[in-house]
Amino acid sequence: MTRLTLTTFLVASLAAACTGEVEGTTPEPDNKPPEGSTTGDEETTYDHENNFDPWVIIDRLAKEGPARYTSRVHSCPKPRYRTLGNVLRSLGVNVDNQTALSAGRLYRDGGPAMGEPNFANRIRENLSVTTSGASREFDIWAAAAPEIMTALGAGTLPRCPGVTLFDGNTCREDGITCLIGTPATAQHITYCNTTVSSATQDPANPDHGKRLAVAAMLAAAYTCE
Amino acid sequence: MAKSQTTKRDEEHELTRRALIKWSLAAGAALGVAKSGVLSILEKSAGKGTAFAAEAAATTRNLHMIWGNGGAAHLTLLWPHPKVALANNPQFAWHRPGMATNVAGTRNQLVRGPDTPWEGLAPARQMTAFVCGANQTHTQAVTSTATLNGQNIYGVIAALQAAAPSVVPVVAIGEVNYATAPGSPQATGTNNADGLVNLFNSAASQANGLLVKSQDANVYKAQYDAFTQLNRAAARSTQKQSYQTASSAAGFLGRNLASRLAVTPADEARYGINGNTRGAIAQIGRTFIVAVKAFKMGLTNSILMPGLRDDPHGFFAGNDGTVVPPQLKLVFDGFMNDLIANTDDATGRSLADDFVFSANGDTTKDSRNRDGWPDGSSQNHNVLWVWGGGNLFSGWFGELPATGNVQGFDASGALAPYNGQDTARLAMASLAYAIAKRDERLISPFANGIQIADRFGPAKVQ
Repeated sequence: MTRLTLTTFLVASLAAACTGEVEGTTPEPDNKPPEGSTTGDEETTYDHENNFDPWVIIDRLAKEGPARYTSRVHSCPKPRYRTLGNVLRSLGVNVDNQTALSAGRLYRDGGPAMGEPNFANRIRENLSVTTSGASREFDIWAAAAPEIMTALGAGTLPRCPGVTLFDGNTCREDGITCLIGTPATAQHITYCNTTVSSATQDPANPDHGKRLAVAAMLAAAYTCE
Repeated sequence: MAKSQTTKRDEEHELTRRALIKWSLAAGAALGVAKSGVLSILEKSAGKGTAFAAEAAATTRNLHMIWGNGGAAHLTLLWPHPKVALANNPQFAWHRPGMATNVAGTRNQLVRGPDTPWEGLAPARQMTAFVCGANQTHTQAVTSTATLNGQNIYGVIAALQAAAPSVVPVVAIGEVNYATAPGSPQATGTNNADGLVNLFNSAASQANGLLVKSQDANVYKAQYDAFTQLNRAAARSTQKQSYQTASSAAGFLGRNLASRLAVTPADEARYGINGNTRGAIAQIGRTFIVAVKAFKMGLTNSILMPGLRDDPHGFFAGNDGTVVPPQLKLVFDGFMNDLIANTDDATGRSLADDFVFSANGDTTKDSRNRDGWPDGSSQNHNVLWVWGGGNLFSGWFGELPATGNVQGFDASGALAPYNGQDTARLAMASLAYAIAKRDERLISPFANGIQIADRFGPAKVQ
């Protein structure tokens, strides 16, 4: 064996001894994960929020649009329970009425259905429009229609003194504006007149159609806060 | 991976079909149209596939009772701890010593007494009970047996049921601690059974009301829709859903469902309610009666109600043992008989086939000491009762022996040293599993990896 060959052999042997390698194999890594596990874990990867239904999110995006749009646009929360009471009073409704099925009684008894807050049990007011809540609110408007018409007819409402709602069976623009709180349009007047004429005619109850119109207008105006 | 055009189109179709089903059935329920009528319309307009998809219910309905202020102790007299009842020890808080027998054929041990309800049901459809949670003497707002991985279990149940259409998804009667979970609706509150009826009633549709005539109800609905279109923001995508809900409510206003929901003397007779029935038990029975009717019409998916909250320390000192459990058995039996006998208006299936009952309380009291029936319990344990309708293994998980410490259970359902938190998690996940009709994928967002199939309930049949 030549000196060069011997030197080469010794260097190769030394290298092999240092690396532990055997020709034709790859070295075992020092940080090999346990059997069956993955490379990443909770400490090294992003913990995705998985407590949601993706179909609900997709459904909402399809209906409402992306967050960068919806965050700049108003939604439709229901009128607060206390706000509804204030509006009823402003329209001449006796909220303290004890008579069964009166607007005041329906309002005072309808708090749970309308999602009023229950602070004693740390339950905040419900903000969403629900079927039960809206049904009760609309029921209150239907029951309140006679009182509101009387108050408007007398022209004594503080929010719009001297304003009346009807000329005979024809709806008035200023009356509708007073009722719904926003300027009435020609379409408002048309729909109001249609409601009055489309209702069942009852000689014993000549104002029936007008009450229907008042109830429908108020329900539509106060669906959202 | 990028989706193919076919996959995208299929998904859009499914999304649209899902929305069509959901709103069709909800509108039908709001208008008092039988679900079968809506399905018939769907079949004609959207095809058989859509109608069948609408009919299949992925979850069951649920009635949960919260027996706060010590009231859950009464449940230990209906579905007792097996070893306590069988011990025949006159000092134990079991009102029928020597009269307890094993229920044959249940997966885990279950014992009945003369006042145990639902004795005629098959072994696989008997009660399941979990020794779990912590004693919370005294409170109405039970939490240790009402929380699943930080979420209120009633909210979780409502979230699971969210895909099932109804007029009022969750009804909370009296003081119950409902809280929302991701995807769950708000609960609608009411005070009692009469309030439950009035939820689906309107003054306007009653005699002398504004909408008592159907023509007026139709005019009202149509004009409401017309007026809302004049609201400037009504067409905004962020407001449409609210206006759609309100529009359904406007249509609902002219329908009077009270006559179909009201409790009749014949109903009370079936539930054993008469002049001698204790007032609180009669209220429970009446709520059961209305609940069955509301479930039948698809008006609601989930009802939370209180049980007895009378803190019965003096139970064994008087004659309550001969009065209260038998009266409770009558109302519970009437409830189950009605659920079995009545069919869902839409599916035609027995209501009992798509229903889960559950009950918890703040404390079950000391089942091994009838003197003053103290509030403490071994290892501070509590109990959750679930009637899973066959979706859970029947019998007790965990046990209270005649002597010594209470035993809990581990993730396999086997007896283990008691741990209130761990057992409560497993019990809550099992309740969700039963509601989801054994679909572990459906409950996975809330259960966080807890396995129920073949451990606490049979696996889903694929």
